[in-house]
Amino acid sequence: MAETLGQLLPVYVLADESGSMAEYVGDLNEGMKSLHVALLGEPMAAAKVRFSVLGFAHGVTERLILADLRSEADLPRLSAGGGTNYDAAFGALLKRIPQDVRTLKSQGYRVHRPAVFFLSDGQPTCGEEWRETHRRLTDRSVTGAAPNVIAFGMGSARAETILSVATQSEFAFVSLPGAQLGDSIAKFFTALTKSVVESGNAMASGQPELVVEKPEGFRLAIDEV
Amino acid sequence: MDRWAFWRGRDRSAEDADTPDAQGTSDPADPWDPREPVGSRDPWDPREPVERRDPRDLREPVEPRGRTEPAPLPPLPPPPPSAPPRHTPPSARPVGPAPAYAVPDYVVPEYEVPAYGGPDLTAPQRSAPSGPGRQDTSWSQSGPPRQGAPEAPGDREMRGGAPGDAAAPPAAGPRHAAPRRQEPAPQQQPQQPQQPHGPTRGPLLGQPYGQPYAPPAPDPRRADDEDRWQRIVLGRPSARVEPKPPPADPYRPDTIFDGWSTPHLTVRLASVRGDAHRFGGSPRQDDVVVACHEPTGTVVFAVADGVSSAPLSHIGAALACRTAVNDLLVQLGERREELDWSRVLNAAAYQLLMRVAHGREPAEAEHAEATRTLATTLVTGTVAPAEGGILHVTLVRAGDSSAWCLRGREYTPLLDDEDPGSEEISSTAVVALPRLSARSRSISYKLPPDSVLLVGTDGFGVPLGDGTGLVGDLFATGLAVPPPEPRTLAHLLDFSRETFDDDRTLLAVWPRHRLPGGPR
Repeated sequence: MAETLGQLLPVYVLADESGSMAEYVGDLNEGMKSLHVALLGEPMAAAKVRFSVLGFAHGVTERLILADLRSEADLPRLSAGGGTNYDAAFGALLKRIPQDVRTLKSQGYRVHRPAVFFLSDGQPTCGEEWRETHRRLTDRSVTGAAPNVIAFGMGSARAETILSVATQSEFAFVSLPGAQLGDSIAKFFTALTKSVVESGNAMASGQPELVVEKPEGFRLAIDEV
Repeated sequence: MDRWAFWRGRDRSAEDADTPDAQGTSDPADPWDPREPVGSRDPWDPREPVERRDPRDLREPVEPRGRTEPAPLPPLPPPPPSAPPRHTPPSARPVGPAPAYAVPDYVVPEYEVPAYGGPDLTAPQRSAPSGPGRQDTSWSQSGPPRQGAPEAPGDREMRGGAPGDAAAPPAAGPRHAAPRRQEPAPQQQPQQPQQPHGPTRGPLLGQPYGQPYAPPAPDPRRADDEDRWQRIVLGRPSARVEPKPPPADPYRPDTIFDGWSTPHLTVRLASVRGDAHRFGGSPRQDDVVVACHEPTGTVVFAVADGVSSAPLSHIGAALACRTAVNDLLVQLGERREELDWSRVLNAAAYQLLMRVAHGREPAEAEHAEATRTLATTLVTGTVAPAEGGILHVTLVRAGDSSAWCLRGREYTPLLDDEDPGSEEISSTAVVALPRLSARSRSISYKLPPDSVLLVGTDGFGVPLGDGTGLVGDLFATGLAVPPPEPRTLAHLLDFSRETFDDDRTLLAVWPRHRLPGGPR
């Protein structure tokens, strides 16, 4: 152990860009913008977060990797089209996260357990093989840097699926029946911002590693299954 | 690493010679140079007439790494006829613009500061000195009048830029929203014909109304300047914020420091509120108590780090420290053969429970409530002087605060039972009072007479790491001998480094013979 240059929390947003989200891409991008602005008002937390955005549909597009949001002029824009391939999404993280943690550590940072915020409006279209990929991603004996996954389901995403994606039952949320998808996306980003800020501030001393804020208009998935 | 980021007491030309290529060369003017004879001078001694580089320079362009040749000086425009004489030495001139790290403006949510519409109350301290003399500042009425002349490059130096920034691009705006201050108002004309009745005079101050406040002329006996109290910056600085008030009761000052010597031991300590708590209006959750048991000459101490998730952990930390030290003093007074360390920890834990139970025997629910609201780590122990300047140290802890023996430039952990570097992912989970670990046992050491005992919270320990970097350098140099002024430790401890925004507490104990000038 040498001197620590800083302490960081890698945060990944894994956003559904499937065709069914096409109507709500504007809401997604607005949400990203509000997250960016809010973090700029939280200098202490923002300094400790490295932010990545991955969109998934048939495949995965890495929109932003380990960005320091204080030095980003704009966040990338998401788009929509294609299926809902959970397997590709978790596969990309399985490759990306250990590599990112190694990079940050080699730069001299102390790295806290990464947090993945997963947002989807539908059921996976790739069969069941995603479950094995997900298990390898989140099993700390397989992946040392296994992330905490916080999952948010909207629209036709089923509670039990979202519960399987989240690494703890209190990290799985589904939108209330009848909720507008645009509203749910905005609420997701509000909760994401709060969680990131509070987790960043909590890193300083003696707290659980991740603080997760329940979004308004969502409920715990476990209450529904 | 930006080692020169915290160099002081040098002008820019000296810095140019010390580009990374020249790293490792000894600079006689560098107070942080490890090869500087320790104790030869105190960088904060107000009597030291040292020219300092404004640490705010870090907001200004910094030399790009790897540059060895200074850029040619930009031609300076001739000074306006009425410009006051410059006192900036030529060596303090800039060497050309360079890209810089600038922290963007931050908006402090829900913290609007109303705009001020009254007369200009710009404090004199806003005008940075141009050099050690500092007489010729833009607000001073004793200097030659400045009749709205176009701003010469040097003018910026006078108002807040550091010496040598004249050709730098304008500094970034204020880096925090609260409070937003106006730049100094434009210079008043010395004659104001628009006032038909002439200036009225204030009955008490004897100064004309409606004119900027004119402070008394600086005291020439003071060779210092306000910059000496700027925070020490290591690497990238933390964002600058104006602290918000913490909860009123109990009163928790931002910073405490203390220092004294017994006939055999010298003590310095400080506890500073972290930037995250300053920004969020939370109290300092660290605490420290130290006392001397005079009959035995033993110094008794306790250092606590309130767990941030517990809303009253600052009270828990204060209670734990005071209880532990009181219990140790009582045990020393009983002249026991051996101190009962588990009794010390139990007493501290019990005090937290009693705080919740209000004097009743605490029930299970009160255990849970004390854990939820008052949780704190604790390191407590004793230092007794032994033959030949040896320190006989005994320590016990609950939680993740720690202790080191600093000898030369080497930090030896005294309480580490695991190597945090072996983990792929860092965890901050702690077992804290009132819960007690079954593994809590006291450890005793005999520290050599040329060493320092350091006891600190993880706000100090995490940025220190193994002590081989900038933080280790800073403290190895600053604490090689006891700083004559106790406040020096508080100044060192409040260094600014991005992402390290936790409260910091550090206690240092030397054998008294290490005091500069020997025992006295």
